[in-house]
Amino acid sequence: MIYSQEKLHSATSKLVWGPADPALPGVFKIELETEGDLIREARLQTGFLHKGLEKSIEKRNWFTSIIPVDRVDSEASLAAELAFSMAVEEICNIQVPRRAQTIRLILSELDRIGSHLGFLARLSVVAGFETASHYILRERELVLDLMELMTGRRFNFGFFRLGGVAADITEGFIERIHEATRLIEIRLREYHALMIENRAFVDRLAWRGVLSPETIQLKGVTGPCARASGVRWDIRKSDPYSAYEQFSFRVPIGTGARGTIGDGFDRVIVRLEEIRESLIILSHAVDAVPPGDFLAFRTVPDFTVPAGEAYARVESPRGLLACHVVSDGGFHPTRVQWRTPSLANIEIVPELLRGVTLQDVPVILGSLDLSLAEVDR
Amino acid sequence: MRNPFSELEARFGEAVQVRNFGRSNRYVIEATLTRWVEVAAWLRMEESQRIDFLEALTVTELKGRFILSAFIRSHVQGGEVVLRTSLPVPGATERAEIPSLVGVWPHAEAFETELAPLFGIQFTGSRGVGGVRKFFGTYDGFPLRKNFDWLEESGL
Repeated sequence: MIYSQEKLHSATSKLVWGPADPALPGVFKIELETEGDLIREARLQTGFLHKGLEKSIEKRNWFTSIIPVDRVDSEASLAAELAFSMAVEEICNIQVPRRAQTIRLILSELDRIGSHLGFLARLSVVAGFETASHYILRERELVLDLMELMTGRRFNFGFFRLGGVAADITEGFIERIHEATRLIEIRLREYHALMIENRAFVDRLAWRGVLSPETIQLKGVTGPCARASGVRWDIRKSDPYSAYEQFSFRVPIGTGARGTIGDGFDRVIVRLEEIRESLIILSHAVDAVPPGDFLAFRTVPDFTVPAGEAYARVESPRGLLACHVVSDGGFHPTRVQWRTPSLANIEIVPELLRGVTLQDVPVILGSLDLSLAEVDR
Repeated sequence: MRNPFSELEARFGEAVQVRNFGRSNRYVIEATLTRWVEVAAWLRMEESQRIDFLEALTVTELKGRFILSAFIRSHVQGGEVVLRTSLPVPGATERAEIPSLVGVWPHAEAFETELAPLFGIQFTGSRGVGGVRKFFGTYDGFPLRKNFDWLEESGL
């Protein structure tokens, strides 16, 4: 049977994708109403990964509550650890030693590099460019090795403590950071040649999934996704914490280098630039670790936090991550609630997918670097 | 030191109270439930405030009350503040009704759609324009309330 062009285009259908599908950036369900291969409407459903973290923290004492905090986002867990620690330290009025603050900064930047490299590897796969992912994951291994050297773990680090960090800098860590930063800097140039100068890769992302500054504002989008659209807001600059005020770095924004400002390609470029800035921060920070203690005091199992509340926020690899902690003066937190970047960033997906073709869905979703672990806490 | 919310206090009178937030240098504006959306809209529109960004909306159950805190900031003026209201926690299976902030900050929907099923809160007046549904399972009660017996519910 031969259909006319009009008849083909007028055929609407419903497509349900997920919740478990390798083309999706996490466990969620997406319902698409399509006309031909054009998406007319998109609806998302999340909740499949919900872990009840906020409830389970209420059942723990303050001493062990840092353990589930890592699970907010296992890939970039230090941001959640840091925000939680900072909030409790504010309630208790704990002064964190400067050495501990600098160690926290070093690990947070390593975590950012690792997360961004993971993003690039995942995106290169969904963009049909798997070759690049094998190179990128090699450098990510290097970052994970450094994290393991310092914390003893490759993910879910559990390294930050109330009042500092769990251990001092491991012998040989600083030298290996210098080696790694030099090597990753060289590799970034290779990625540039491999991906950014590659027409096939650029065409998959440029002009795709464009986010305007107005949408960013309305939907509360933060982090590299917002900066790619020209919104120069980074908590490390606007409200510095953990010694960030001591180091000079740029906040890269999207320029529409190959398409238009705020497209998928800009989101890649911004993250590549952020890796470069993190390398600069790291190379300066490891040479500027002040002498002194790495921990203000040792928390004991029956540690109590005075009645009060605090709200702390950090710039996680995906954007603004904040933590509201309330204590009634007892052994357990009364309430711990997170504001995670992906919780807000996922809200733009239905709007971004409207009017695009089916083949672009994985690439657009991949360019947002969503973490469903963050959405379903 | 000048109170940056003297205009707000003059306009809303006893419907608002301004105090400090914990040890930080933020202010908390405590508004009555009936006027909290009105206060939010004033903070959003007033030229001296221009609070255009909702960072987070949190709910705490403390001493038999739900305390809602909106952590808000102005990208234009640079200021930040916490807008707060509270109401008694209703019966175990009843939902609390709270006016939605979606009309003031559309981004509130991300938080409201999450908090509603977990705390048993009906956010009234929400346009519900977003396309992200959150489903956390079916429970006998509301999981994030203090009286929710999660061990019994999980069968442990």
